[in-house]
Amino acid sequence: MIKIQQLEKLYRTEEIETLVLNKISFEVKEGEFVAVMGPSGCGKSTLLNIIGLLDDCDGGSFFFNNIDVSKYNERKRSALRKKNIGFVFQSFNLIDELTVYENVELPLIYTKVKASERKERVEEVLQQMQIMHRRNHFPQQLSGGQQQRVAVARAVVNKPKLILADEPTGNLDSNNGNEVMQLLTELNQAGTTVIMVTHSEHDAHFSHKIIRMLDGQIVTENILL
Amino acid sequence: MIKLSFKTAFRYLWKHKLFTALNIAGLAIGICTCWVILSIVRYEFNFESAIPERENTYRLVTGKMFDNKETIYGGVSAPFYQGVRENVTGVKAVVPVYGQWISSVKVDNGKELIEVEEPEDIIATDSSYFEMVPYKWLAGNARTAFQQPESVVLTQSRANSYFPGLTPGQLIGKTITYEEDAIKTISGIVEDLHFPSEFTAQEILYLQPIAYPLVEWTNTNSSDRLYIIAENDKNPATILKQIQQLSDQKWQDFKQERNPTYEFVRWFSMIPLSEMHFATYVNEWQVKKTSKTVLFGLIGTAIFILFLACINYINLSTAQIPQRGKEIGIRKTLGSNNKSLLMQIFSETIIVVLIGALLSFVLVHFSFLLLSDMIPQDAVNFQFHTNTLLILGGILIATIVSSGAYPAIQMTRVNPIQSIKNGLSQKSGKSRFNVRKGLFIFQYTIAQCFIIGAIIVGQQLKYTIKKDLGFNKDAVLLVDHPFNMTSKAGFVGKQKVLLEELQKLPGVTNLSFSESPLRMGYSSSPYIYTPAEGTDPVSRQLQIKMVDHNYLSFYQMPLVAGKDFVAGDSSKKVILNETAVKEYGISSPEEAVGKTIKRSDELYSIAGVVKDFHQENFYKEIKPLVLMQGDQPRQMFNIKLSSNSEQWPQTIEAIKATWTKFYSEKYFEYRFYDETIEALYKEDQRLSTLINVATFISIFIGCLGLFGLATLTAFQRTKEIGVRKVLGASVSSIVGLLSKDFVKLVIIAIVIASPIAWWAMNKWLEEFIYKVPVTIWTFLMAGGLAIIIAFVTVSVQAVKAAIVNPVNSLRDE
Repeated sequence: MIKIQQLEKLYRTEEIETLVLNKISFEVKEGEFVAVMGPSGCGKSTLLNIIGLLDDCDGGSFFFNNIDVSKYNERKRSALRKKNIGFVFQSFNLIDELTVYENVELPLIYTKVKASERKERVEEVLQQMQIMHRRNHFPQQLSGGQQQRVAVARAVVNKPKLILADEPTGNLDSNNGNEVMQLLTELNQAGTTVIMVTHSEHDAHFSHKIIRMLDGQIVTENILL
Repeated sequence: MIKLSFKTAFRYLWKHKLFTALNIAGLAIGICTCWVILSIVRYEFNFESAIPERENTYRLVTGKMFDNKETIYGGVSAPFYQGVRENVTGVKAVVPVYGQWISSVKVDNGKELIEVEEPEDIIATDSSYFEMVPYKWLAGNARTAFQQPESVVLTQSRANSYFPGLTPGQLIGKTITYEEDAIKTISGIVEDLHFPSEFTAQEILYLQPIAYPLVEWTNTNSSDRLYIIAENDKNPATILKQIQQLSDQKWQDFKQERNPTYEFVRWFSMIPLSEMHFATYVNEWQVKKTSKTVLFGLIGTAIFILFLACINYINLSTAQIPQRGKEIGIRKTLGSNNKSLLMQIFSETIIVVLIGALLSFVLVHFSFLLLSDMIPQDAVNFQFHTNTLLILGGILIATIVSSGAYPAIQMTRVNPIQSIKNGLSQKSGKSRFNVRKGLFIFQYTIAQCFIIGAIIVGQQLKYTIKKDLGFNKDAVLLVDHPFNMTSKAGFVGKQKVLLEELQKLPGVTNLSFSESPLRMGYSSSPYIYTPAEGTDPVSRQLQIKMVDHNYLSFYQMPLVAGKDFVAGDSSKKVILNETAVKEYGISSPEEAVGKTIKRSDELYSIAGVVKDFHQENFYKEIKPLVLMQGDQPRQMFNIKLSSNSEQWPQTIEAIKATWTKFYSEKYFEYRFYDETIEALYKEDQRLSTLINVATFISIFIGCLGLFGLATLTAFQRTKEIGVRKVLGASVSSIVGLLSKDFVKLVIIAIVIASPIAWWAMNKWLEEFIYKVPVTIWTFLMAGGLAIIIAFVTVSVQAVKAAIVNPVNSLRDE
């Protein structure tokens, strides 16, 4: 599903140039659950942003479903992103002004899904995440675990082929963290590809493959059985 | 999507109540200003809008030389309407509208006898008038109205005041008595005009065609107005040429008949009816005129003030972008395109502007009440005029676009990764120049111009009232002598007896029966001075004031040479002012005493020279003047009251009681001299009020914006403030830190505004001959005021931020 070859990313400021990703190559097959690990600043989040089509690269190639998207402009990336990719963030990133229901509904609106179908799909996914009873609440009225479940619901409501999770349990206690990991595992088992950045060895062991990074390079790739 | 955008917008605005309230308040004031001014402008431009042949209708006006100046009078010589009809081609209709001064009207309506003194809005015309002005007839009709010469047509409102309770049909055939014995029969009732117009007639009499004597062709009466409806293809110039020929011919005829000693120059203009309301250069009484410059000034003010409010919105919205970065980032990540982001921002703008518009509706109502002195009352009727509302709609859309566009574009530029991960960098208060600072400076520049303007206009007005006018006007009461009664049988000499009676009243310290020294309107005549036998005579137009012997001492006007008038002296003595002496080329006032001046064949000996005093307002220079002793209808009772103002009400009551022994109570109209002088500057007072209101509004809107920005800055710099406090910064140093950046911008605004305001105010003062000097102190004062206002506004938030416990602000991070 994802094939990355010799990928490079540079960050430039007025004075210095930092190579954040240094000729990275790897592959993620459809249905895989991959964890990316490494110390802060090793480039894992940058990698995730590029895979999520939020950022562009400065060298190498990036194939998404066998299409080279590394040269795509913002409009094309946005179109591809909203149909295929769901995001889960460490800090949940729910919109404060929207209710649980509306937060989950938002990606469907952007992909122009009809109102009747939207309702059906949002309710279905809220049921699945066991958060239906909170549908009319605002994010601030929920616990961290509940907020992350809403975030996961929002990430999957569009039935994306790929879910990108950036430290999804980073702000949660272990119980809530486990619940979220369980959710991701279930989604993966249902056929969704998951790429997750994490600091937690515990969380990483929910995946099929752990990629370890250091200073912008992949150090190891462990396949878990 | 739209529904969700608006729902989200509402929640966002509710959550940020303070900023929403600041924005709504600013915009409501801005929209209110536009709405009020729009109503005024619609009203003013609607004059004569319903006249059917407006495009081809002209007013004929007369030009003459007066005081060496070309002067345009609104009237014509009375016979012209016949002359133009008979001799001028290319004219479809000639309509005389001759104002009638009538001293009394009597109406016996069956229930009571109504008597009205000097009723207004009476004209004489003929049936052509009803073809030009589209009246709706409630009884009678245009064709039959003047079939009988002794007819009168009334408007509905006048008819109701004379004959309350009767229907228009019942009024036909009723009679009205004009001037004691002229009985007119009502032949028609028309509805009052529903559009603003200079055709304000309420009683329309028939103008009987008469054979005018030749001399009438040379007289011009400003209340005799003549309208010409040109044929479609006729150029006014060809009509004017014929009129000029007619006028010149009549003058030649007159010269032959009378052999006058003077020359006579006059010319004509045809002013389009649509322009008449704005023709402020035309001299005429009791016709409301408006300067287009003033209207454009008002429109400019409205646009500026609304723009100030838009700037607040732009500044506060863009300043909030760092806080909103995360939300925008999430939206973008989830697939929002620019269009949906724009929709989100514009939903908020639309809500704020519409709430502002609703609130302005209430404000407009109060504005019309509070500013009733400045606003033409009929303008209220144009508040909901279709055109007003359409333009207002356009203004609202423009407001939404101009307020929302820049913040929206800024938001679409937000980088989602950066905003989600780290939040946006908050470049508040740093030195980098940006649009927000530019707009802020612009806003304060306008406010500063208004502040300087308000101060200078205020100073000049104070100067006009407080400056030594050359005579003492304190505690002076003026009472007009009943018009035309000086020579009326049974009243001759009565004023002298009244003066003696008034003199006896306690509380009255001095009296004079004279024309007051400074008043609008005067008479003047050429007086000739011949320096020596055989030299060329010098003719000068002198203003004339009829006074009594007590005049100079009453007003404490010093004589610079010669002697004052003596009571009862009937020899032809006059007193000149210093300017007159100079104009005649006499070397000194002393030299002038004993010399003679001549008018027609009368010789007058100069008894004395009075020090110059102001005879007119400060727009006019002091002109040569002659004081003459005598009795004239223009004279009035000048009554000096004792300095104890608490006694004045009793004294005035006593004067009134004495008065009623001589004249009818209805003629007793008194006014304090101070007030009449203030009234001379009514237009300037209006300008002053207007500029004060504009200043207040612009400062207020500016402060709303400044308060909002200061709040945001304090919030965005919470952590920095915490760190500084931990390191030992005092509250005052933090207040200084937060205020400094704003005050710097205000100072830049002051620097930009000062020369602009200096130029504009000098331009305004140029009109005055006597004026205050514009000094640097005015600008320093205005600048200081702006800085203080800005500093106080910012300090409220800065102090709040500075006294927060740093432990809290740092933990917050």
